[in-house]
Amino acid sequence: MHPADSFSNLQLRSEQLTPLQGLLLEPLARRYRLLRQGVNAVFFILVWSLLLGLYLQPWWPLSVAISDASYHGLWIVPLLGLLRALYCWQADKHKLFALREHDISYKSGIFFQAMITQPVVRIQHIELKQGPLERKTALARLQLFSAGGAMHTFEIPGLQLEQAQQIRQFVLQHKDALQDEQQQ
Amino acid sequence: MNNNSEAKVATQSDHVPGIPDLEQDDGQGQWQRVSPIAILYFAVAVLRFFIGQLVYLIPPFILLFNRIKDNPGLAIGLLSGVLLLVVVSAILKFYYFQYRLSAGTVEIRSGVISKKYLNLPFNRIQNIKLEQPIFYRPADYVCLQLDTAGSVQQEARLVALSRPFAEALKKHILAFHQQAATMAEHAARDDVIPATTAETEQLLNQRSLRDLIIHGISNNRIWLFLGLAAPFYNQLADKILDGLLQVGIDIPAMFDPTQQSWMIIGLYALSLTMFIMLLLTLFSVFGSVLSFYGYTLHKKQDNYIRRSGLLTRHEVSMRLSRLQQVALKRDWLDMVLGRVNLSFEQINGQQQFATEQKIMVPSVTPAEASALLSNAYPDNQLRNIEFNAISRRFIWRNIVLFWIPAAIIGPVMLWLQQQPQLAALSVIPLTFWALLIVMRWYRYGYAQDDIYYYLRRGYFGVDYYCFAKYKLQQVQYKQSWLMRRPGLCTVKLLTACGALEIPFVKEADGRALLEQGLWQMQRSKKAWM
Repeated sequence: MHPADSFSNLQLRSEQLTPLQGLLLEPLARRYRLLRQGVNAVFFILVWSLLLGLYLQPWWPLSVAISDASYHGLWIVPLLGLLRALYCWQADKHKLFALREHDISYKSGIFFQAMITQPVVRIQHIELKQGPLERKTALARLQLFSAGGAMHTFEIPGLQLEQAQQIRQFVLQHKDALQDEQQQ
Repeated sequence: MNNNSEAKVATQSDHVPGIPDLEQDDGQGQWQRVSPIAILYFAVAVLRFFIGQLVYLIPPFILLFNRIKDNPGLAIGLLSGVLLLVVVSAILKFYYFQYRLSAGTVEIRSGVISKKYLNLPFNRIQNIKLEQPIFYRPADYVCLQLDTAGSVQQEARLVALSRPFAEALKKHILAFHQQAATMAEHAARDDVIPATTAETEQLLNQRSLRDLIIHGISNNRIWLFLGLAAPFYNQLADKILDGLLQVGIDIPAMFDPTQQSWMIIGLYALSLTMFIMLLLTLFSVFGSVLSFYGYTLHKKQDNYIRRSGLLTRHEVSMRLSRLQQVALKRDWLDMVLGRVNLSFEQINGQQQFATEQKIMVPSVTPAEASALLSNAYPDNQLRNIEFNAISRRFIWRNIVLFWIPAAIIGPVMLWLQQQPQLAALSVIPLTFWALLIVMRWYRYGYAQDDIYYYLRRGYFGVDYYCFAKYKLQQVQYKQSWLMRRPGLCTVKLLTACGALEIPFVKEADGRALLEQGLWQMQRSKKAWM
């Protein structure tokens, strides 16, 4: 360990630093948006066909209330599906991330925008998560744990696998990340 | 890479026989499986999960027991199906559980359907535990748990390692820590003044009985207890009335308007209320004396040591480096009595730190509080820093979004239900609520200097929080659609002992808070604990 090595931010003048506001944010993988749309569509089509089946099936006589409900459901469900699809599409467009020399930021939200910034020095450990569909589409979720508590785990969803691995490598190789701590 | 050179030093000086991987560079080692006995471990875990999920199925199962007795085939089929599932998933879990050791890190790959890939540098490990379930005992296997401060759950478990291997690994990781620590000490030695009075304890604060009585009065926690005991009030009241009747006091008769005049009943009610209040306060004072009797706060080198207690003496010690935040809290009664509750807060909500609680100094005077704060943070400016107010829109937001709807719906509902008096009376809580909103806005204040953040908030009382910027763990910048136009934002600052939120700040100020904090933190390179 080099205890007194130079800290590059020192050499920069403060106006040369990129402010959080001026960060060039990168979007998530396009596949992630498509995947979410696909999952949404499949879910609502499933619900819709169940309703259709219920409405058309000849075996059980339906009470008037249920029959009416399923009839209206046949147009309400696609509408909900469409609204959710539109919302997800827009929401996913607003999910952005950016890396600086010493921290990672993730911005999300349409109406309630939030930008979370996680300094690399405070990262305790890293997890790369992949569900079955994410594995099929080579996507990954990156979770960065800090001592800020389980409620405040920093997560970037929908990264391309190679991208996620690169960010993990960036964090692990960050010269401060493995240097401080444990002076007990 | 920095990490590797450091790790090599560690491995050379403290060679661990039998773990050749530890000399490998990152990402060079072999992926390994744990011992097959881990199947048993996973099976138990899966079974436990199943039982946890199915616990609410037990009552219907008992109800159906007679049917099952008549038709055992189905039940046996079901049961063996579940068992098969357990066995198969345990084997799969074992198969997919792999770990890899290298010079500075441990990596774990796990998960059958949902994959997990965990990467844990040795110097992030806070705590190492060896666990031995009963079925590991014959072959002497252990489960190695590696905790970090990252989350409450144990993050990394190396299930089923042979005991010598686990012990060696543990020793290696601990040695790695020491190596890092001594290096850090060497680095720090230059700017540390040699401690001359190192061994003696320095008394920082002491609480007299009078202080504790004041603390008992101003911090009446008995209300909590009363709230919890609410379901038992009826039984309790009956018992008490019986008891009083036996000594010749008939309370129902005293409050019976047919036997007494209203005047007398009013007097009785007043004195009874006073009596109960007195009793409750006495309880609270008693509790305060019980837990804080003989309170002393000492400083020995870098440690704060708190000792107190009437029956059992408690001793809590905390390293100054573990201190995350200092809070000075006063509720309205503290304001009246001129006292402050000061607490030194450290890492929060972590089981492995349960023994190290925060250190509270009960009911000190403002001058003492300020002295204690200066002792912990010598260069803080809480006393003379000027706080910035938050935007007035904070009031409007709360009034328009919550208060007005409630103020319209509540009285109207009561009116419609033929309760005009109650509708009129509802003005009182509504006014109080509005007052609370305004006071909340009035109390909110924030400030920063080069080293510290300062936050003020409260309702009728006022709390001050002060923490060093390098203790930051994460920052958040939030802005709702309605805040965007007036150019406001909400800023959240996270430390290891919790989050502090500053709502309705001007955009530029909010950004400055975050940016300067991050800059200080990243530049200072100080460890947060």
